[in-house]
Amino acid sequence: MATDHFDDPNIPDAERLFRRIHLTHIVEGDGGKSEVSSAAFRDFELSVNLETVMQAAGREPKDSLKDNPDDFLTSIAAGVCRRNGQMVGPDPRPDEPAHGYAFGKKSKSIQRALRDAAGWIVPDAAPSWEQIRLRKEQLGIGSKDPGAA
Amino acid sequence: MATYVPALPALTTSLFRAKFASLSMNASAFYDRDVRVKTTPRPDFCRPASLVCDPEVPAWLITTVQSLLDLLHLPRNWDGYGAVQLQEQIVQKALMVLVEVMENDAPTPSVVPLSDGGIQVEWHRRGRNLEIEFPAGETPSFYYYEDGSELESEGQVSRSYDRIQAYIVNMK
Repeated sequence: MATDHFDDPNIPDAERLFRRIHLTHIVEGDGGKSEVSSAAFRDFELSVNLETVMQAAGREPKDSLKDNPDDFLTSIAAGVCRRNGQMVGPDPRPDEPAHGYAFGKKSKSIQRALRDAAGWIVPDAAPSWEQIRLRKEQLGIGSKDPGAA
Repeated sequence: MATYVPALPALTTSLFRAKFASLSMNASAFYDRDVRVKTTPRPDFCRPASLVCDPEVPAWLITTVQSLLDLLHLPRNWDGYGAVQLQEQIVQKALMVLVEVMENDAPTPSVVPLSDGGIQVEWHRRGRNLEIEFPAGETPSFYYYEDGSELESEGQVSRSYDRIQAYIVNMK
């Protein structure tokens, strides 16, 4: 974890920050849709992968899932994070040189704004709730259907 | 034949009868009591399976307890970002709040873990959204908003039971 957070001007607003989404953070939305819980964007120091660092190493975005193949992948622009009061900076680690952060307090409305601004990378569109429900059943995670009641 | 699953809060079928009768109950009165929830398989004559035949335990509670039990099995670093394991006392607290604010026929919430060991319960129905957050070391809070509207509301759970109850009722 970085200790000297700063907003790096070398990271442009348009840069995509890749954020993995754990299966438990996908919930049932309206009309058979799934949606990402705001809880996925709650951490004060929100870990992400920096697109330009991955590109420079010849890595594709989906390589962010290399150690967590059951996760999903979303992206959010650095500028969106900044407009919501976050500092965006690099925090390379031995196991992930592209690691970075969106650092700052995240109120519920900011969590929601970040969630709403995030786009799907893997898969390339929001999966249906039925797909998610079945996957949760397979992995034994929150396997009951909330819509059953 | 009824089966029993180890559960978390002090919740029994008799408690829910009492709640059903009075429509009001202080869940904290049941803190630290026996920890079991009775689940009854649905007999064949009750099909379709979506019908709930056991009038004693709300459907949302069975589903929610099962989800929480699943989440309690998540290992340390379950998210690959350094998350800690769920804290059982937070799960207990959340269930007691839910018992307090939810009617027996309330819609079942989604339950998601927080990286600090807390949990969040949330509903997204008919353009209405309610999230109740039970973080580790912080006061539980709620957040309500409606799609396509600037309307949003948030506050501490302990001061807002009536509002939260009303939001959940409107989710049906």
